[in-house]
Amino acid sequence: MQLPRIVRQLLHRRIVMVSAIVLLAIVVLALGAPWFASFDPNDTAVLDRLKGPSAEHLMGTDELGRDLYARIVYGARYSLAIAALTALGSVIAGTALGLVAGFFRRLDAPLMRVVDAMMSFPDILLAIALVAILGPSLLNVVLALVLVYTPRVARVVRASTLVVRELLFVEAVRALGVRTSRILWRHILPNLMSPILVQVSFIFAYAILAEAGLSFLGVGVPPEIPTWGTMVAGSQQYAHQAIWVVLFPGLAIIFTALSLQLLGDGVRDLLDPKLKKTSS
Amino acid sequence: MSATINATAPRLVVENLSTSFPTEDGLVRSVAEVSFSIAPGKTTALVGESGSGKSVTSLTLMRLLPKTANAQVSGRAEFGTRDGRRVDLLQLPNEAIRQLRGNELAMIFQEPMTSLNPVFTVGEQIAESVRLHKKLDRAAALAHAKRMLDLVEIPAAAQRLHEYPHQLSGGMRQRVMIALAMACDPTLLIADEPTTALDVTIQAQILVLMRRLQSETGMSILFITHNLGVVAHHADDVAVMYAGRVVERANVRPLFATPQHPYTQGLLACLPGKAHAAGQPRPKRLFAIRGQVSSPLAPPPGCAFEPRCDLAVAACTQAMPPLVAIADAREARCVLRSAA
Amino acid sequence: MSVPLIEVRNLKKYFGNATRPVRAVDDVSFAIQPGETLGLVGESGSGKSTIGRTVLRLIERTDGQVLYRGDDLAGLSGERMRKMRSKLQIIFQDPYASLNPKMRISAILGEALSTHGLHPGRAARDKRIAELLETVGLRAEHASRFPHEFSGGQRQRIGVARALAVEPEFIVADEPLSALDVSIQSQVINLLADLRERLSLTMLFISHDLDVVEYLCDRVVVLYLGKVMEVASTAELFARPLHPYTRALLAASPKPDPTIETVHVPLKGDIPSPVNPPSGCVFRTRCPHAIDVCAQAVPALDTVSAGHQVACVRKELFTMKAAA
Repeated sequence: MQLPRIVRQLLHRRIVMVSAIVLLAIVVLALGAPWFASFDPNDTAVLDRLKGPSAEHLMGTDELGRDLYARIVYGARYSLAIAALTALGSVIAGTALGLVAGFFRRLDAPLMRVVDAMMSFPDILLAIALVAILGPSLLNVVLALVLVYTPRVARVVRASTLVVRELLFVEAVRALGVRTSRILWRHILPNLMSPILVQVSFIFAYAILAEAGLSFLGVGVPPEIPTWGTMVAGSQQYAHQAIWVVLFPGLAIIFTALSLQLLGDGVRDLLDPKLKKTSS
Repeated sequence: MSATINATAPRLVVENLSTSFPTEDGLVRSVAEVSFSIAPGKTTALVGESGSGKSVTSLTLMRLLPKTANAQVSGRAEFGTRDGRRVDLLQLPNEAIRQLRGNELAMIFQEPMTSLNPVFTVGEQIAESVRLHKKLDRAAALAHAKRMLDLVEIPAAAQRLHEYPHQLSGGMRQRVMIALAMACDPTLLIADEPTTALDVTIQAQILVLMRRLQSETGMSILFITHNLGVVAHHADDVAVMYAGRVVERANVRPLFATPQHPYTQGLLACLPGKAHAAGQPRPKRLFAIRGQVSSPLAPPPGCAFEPRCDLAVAACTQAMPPLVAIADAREARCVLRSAA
Repeated sequence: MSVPLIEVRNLKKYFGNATRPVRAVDDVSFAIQPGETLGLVGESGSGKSTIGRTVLRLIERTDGQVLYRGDDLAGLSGERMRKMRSKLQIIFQDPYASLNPKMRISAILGEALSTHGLHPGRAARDKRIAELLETVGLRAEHASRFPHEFSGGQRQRIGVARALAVEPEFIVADEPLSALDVSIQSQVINLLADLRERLSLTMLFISHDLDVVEYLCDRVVVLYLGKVMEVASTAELFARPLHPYTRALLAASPKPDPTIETVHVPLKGDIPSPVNPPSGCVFRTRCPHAIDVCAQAVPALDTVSAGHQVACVRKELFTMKAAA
């Protein structure tokens, strides 16, 4: 079976392969949470609180006796969902912004000033401010993070659009009389896929970390929703006596973010030289 | 002034040069069984189109193929050094070839912008070569560099010494390349498409310059090009290459007057400049060689040119014809010509 | 005299800032009659490529007029200009970059057809694509492949097919042969000559290769640094070149015949920068016949005989001589 060349090349790099496998495992765990967890993540059992890892509770229990393993597996759903929605939202918004700014000269300056303004705020502060204004909820956290990451995507997409716009085949279809909207959709956008894909993987990673940070600070999702960040936040005072309550959620955050970063690196390394080849 | 013990021995004799590259899709024979020679003070042109292997030939001779290419090279390239020895360029140890390169054996390329280091001034680059090979000190080397810039007719040479490549025009940069090549008094200059990227009027200047330098220093030139007009007026001998092999060798006038190989004939016939004699009406159609050169990964079973040849016969598909002498100083790789 | 298909009047295109612009095209005028092939000849900085693109409004002019059948193209709105493009097409120099590498040939040609509503419907469109490919010497089954599967010459043919798909009257050929091997060039020259005759095309042929221009063009405009040096019919220009630059250009192009002796002293110096063109006649810095007057005023494009114009105060130097 001949896999597509990109997949073959990706698989040649061991680190990328390992990251991909780890990510796949996490996604499978998240999707199949009910089958992998033997306990309900919200079931409190005060008598069993702060028990260490054992055969029954693979990762121990937290301060309310809830099975940590179940919470991590279910929490993966929330963390991954938030990160995915953030990545999707910021890529769509950022691409739209960057594409328009890069293609239409007259809109470039005003749009980029808006982007610059957005970027001048430190990520976390901006997210905190937005959640404080909008109120803590899963959707508001996603919204806040999308606002934070959109400018970054917009910048990258704009830069690539400026390059692709000057390519000869784009001039050729302009000369044919092809409508601008079609030029953007059919000719420019597909050639932006490489940088966009790279951005997707990085934002996914940053979003996992950002959400964890926000929730840790208490300005993320409401504490009753079991994301990895809220788990660390809620259990932090017990960390010195029961390290596992913050260790396992912390490791989950690290592994997921790291795998995404490495996968993103691998994808970018592969696509960059190809991008150069097609544009020459 | 270069001195050779035996003034009539060729400066360079290439015998059965072959260069192949292993790739994912198979072994690519870029150059196969190439033989030619260059007399002292003369210009031999290597003529060919894309895929002919002419550039790979020159890179192989200079030992400049990238290591990552894992090239497999065979054959001989006998070069007559200034002190009278005859060495095989392909067998020399790295240190020895480095002493020859930029010294007796110089090369100029098509794109002077990428061959010159953008962060050093023009004078520094020439001086560096001179210091390396002639062991001069910095001041003497710079003075020599200025003499070189004068030699290649760059105006205001003293000022240009301190300029960077990007400050010069394309024609100027090519002159600097030539100055760099001439700095150590080479006996053989390999010029790989030196004027292809230049405007016509600038090309004319550079070609006249190279001719003048050749007559003043007696150096030999291996001129690689696809431009038959340039070959007609600036080469003494011609080797026509197709798909990695030499298909015809001759002195320049006989080659243009009576080309023997069907590819050479086709190439000359399809030039619009030769389409009709002055005063006669324009022909309706130009002669065209049909098809295109075969992929090096799927060469035809016999003669490489056979699929495009109007004169092909059955024998052409059976084996690669050898390059045989068909007259005095003429060779052709064609079954139709070798019965002579 | 019928209305020219394309007429360019005092065209100017300057790039960059207003104080020291790059004068790529500096007051160029010419007309192309229906069915005619006009050659634009020049070296780097001559402005020939810029003129080609400006005529098609791929670049907007700085000043002057471009008339199509007497109407100024600049006056057309965005949508009307878009529709007009089906009549005015271009073939590019670089066959490797002019086709979208991610699109199949059928999509590339299909897009051209659907942009102007030609041959709607899957069946009609596929049939027309097959016809177009065969017209340019390719085969119908090539439609399902990607550009990288083709050679340079084949890609150039696809570019020609794409231009023909919208049924143009006028084609700008911007150095269409420069990136091709010599043996492929003659194939494409034959193709262009064939199509031109079958489809009654009018062409603006931009090239630096004088031999090709002599073969394909009816009339020639010689450009230098954004200005017109000489205009004449092909036969006249090559037999009796009057402008010193034209003569230098012709002498510098080596003919593929070793028996023709070229007694040619190459022009001195480099082509000046279009940011800082010489005053008066832009060619005077390299002209072997320049005199003081040449620096004072831009020489007018004077008519010396029917259809032959020269911008040189010393043109009488050569009017009595035969060509060198």
